[in-house]
Amino acid sequence: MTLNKLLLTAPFLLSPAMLMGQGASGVDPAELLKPLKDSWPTYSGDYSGKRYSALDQINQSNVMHLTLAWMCRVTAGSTQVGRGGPRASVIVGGEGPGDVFVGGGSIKASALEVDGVLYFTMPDNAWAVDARDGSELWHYFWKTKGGTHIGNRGLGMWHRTLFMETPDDYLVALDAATGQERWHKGIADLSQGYFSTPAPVVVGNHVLVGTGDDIDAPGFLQSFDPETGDLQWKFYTVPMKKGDTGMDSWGSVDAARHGGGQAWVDGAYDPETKLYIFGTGNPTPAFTTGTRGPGDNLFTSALVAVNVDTGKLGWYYSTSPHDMHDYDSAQTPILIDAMYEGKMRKLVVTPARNGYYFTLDRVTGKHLVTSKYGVYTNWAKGLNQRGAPVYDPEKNATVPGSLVSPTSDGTTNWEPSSYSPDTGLVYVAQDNGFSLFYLIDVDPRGSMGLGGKEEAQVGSGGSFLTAIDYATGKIAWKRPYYGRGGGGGLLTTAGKLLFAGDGSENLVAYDVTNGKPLWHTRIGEVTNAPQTYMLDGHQYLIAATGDTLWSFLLY
Amino acid sequence: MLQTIWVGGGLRRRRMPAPAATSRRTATVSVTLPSGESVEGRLVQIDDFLVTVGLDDGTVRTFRRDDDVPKVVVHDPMKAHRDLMAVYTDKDIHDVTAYLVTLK
Repeated sequence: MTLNKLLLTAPFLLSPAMLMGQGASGVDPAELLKPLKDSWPTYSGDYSGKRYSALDQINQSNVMHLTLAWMCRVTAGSTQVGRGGPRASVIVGGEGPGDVFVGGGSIKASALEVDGVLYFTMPDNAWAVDARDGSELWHYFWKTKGGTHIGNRGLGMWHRTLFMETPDDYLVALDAATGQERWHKGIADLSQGYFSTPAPVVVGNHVLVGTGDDIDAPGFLQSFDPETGDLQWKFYTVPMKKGDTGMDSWGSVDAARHGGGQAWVDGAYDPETKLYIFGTGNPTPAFTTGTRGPGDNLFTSALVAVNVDTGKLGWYYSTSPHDMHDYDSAQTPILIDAMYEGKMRKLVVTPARNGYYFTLDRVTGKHLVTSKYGVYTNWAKGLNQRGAPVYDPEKNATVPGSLVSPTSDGTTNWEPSSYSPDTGLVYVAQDNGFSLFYLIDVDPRGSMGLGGKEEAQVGSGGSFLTAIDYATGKIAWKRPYYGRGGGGGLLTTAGKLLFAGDGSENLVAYDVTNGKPLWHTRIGEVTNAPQTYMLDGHQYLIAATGDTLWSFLLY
Repeated sequence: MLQTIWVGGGLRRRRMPAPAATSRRTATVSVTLPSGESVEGRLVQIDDFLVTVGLDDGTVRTFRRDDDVPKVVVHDPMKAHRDLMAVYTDKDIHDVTAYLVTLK
C-alpha cells in the first residue's frame, strides 16, 4: 500500500467513537440543570424552554460577517448511497417489514450538540454528524410498521445513550458513540392511531415520552427508566375512570376515555418544584361537542404540570376550555423568573395556538395574564373567571359555514417560541389565517377525531414576528413577514439577536429589541428552530432546511 | 363550493394553505431607484431583502432592498377583498352566497 493509499484509507478505519474524540462523556443529567450556553444537550437547549443562549460571540456588531461553515445533506432510509456518494454505514433496526414507503420528510428536530457531535432526526432516522464539519459519523434507520410520519422533534440523551421515538410508537435507545441499538420498547398502540413525534426529555433517571393521536384515543405522558426502558409511570391527560380529577367536565366516562388531549410536543421542567409542564392537544371529537358534554373537557387544550418522580398531577390550566376548533395547546411553554406586580415570581408563559397569550404562576398554575395576540382571532366571546377564552357557539363549524380566525393550524403551532431576559419579551411567529368551517356530519354523537367538518382556508390577515411583554401580554412590536415566517421556531441570544426563518427562504438575524433584520442568508425554507453552540472558541449557528443542516460561524 | 370560492378570492386547490398577505397572482409592483429610474411590472417575489419584477417582455429584474432603498410600492387588487374578512359576519357571507346562487 502506498503512502497515498494509506492516507486515503485511514479515515475509513477510524470508528465513529474515535472520530468523536477520547473522553466523550455524553450528558450527565446534572448538566441539564444549567442554563443554555456552550452545548445543546436537550430539546430546548435547557429545561426552561426559553431557547435563549448566553453565547454572545456572535452579536449585533459582527453578525453581518456570519459565514457558512458547512452544510450536511442527509438521506433517509436504509440505502448505502446518499446524494454525496457513499456514506457511513446505515444501522438498521425496527420491527416493520422494511417495505413501508414513508417518503423523505424534513428536519424539524432540534439537534443535540454534545462533545463536538450533533445528533438529530427525521421520522425513522437518526444521525450523528461532526459538529465541526458536518461529516456523517453514523446513521440509524428504523424499519417502520406505519403510523403518521409528520415529523420528529429530535433525541434525548442520558450519559452516552440517546433516545428516539418512532412513528409506529417505539422508544429506541441508541449508543451515542456508534449508533448501535441498545433496546427498544413499545410506548403506544399503533392500531389505535397513536403516532409518536416528540423528542424524549431526560430528567434525572426519567425519560419523559409523549405521543400523539388524531382519532379518539386518550392522551398520556409516560416516564421510562433510561437503562432498562421499563415503564416508571403513565399520566393520562383525560380522566380514565369515575372519580378521577376532571371527570365532571365530561359527559361520561366513555367520552373522557376517548377524549384526546395528546402530549405531542415537548414540555419544560422546573427543578425546584419537580414539575414537568407541558401542553395538551384538542378534545375529540374536535369540531363538535358530540358526547363530550358541555364542560371544559379536562385536561385537553391545556397546560398541565406533573411531578416527574410520581407522575401525579400538580396543576392544570385550560387555555381553550371545551375547544371546538382543534386548537391544541401543545406548544412548548416557557419558564421564566421575573418581576410581576412588584414581586419576583416563578412564571410560565405561552403564546397559544388559539391566538391568546397567557402568563401563569408555575408553582400553583394560578392565572395572571391573558391577552389576545392574534390580530383577527374571533372564535371566543370573552374570558371566564380563570382568564381563559370562552368559545362562541356562533363560530363553531356550521352547515352553511362559519368564518373563523385563526385556522385550525393556529396562530402558532408546534414551532418553539423564545424569551430573552435582556428584553423581557416573549417572541412568537404568528399567522392570522381565516377558514370557513363547514359541519358535514350532523349526527349529535359527533364524528371520530378530526372528522365531521370540512375546513376551507380562504385567506390570511398577515403573518408577523411578534414580541410580547410577559407581564402585561401587550405586543411590544411586530414585524410583518412577506411569507408565512417563523416556520421551525425561534432562537434568542445574549448577542441581542433573534434568529428565525422568514418564510421567504431566508435565515435571518433580527435585532431583538425592535425586529430589524441585521443579517440574512438565502438557504431555503427553514424547517426547525435555529440553534447555537460553542466549539474551539467559535460560536456556531445551525438551522435546517428540509433534508439539509446548515452551519455558520465567524472566521 | 361557490361560497368558499368567492370568500377565498378565486379557485384554489382543496386544502391549499391560505394565501400570504400579498397575492402574487394578481399584484403589481413599482420600484423606484435612487437614480430616479422606475420599473413597474408583475410582482414575482418580494421579501425584506429582494424584490423581483416580471416585465411585459417576459423577462424579470431583481433588485436588492436596503431598508427603504429602492422605494417599493406593491399594488395588490385583492387587498381590499382580504381586508373584508375581518369585517364580514357569517350572515353577510350567507346572504351574499344566497344572492349569487340566484344569478344566471
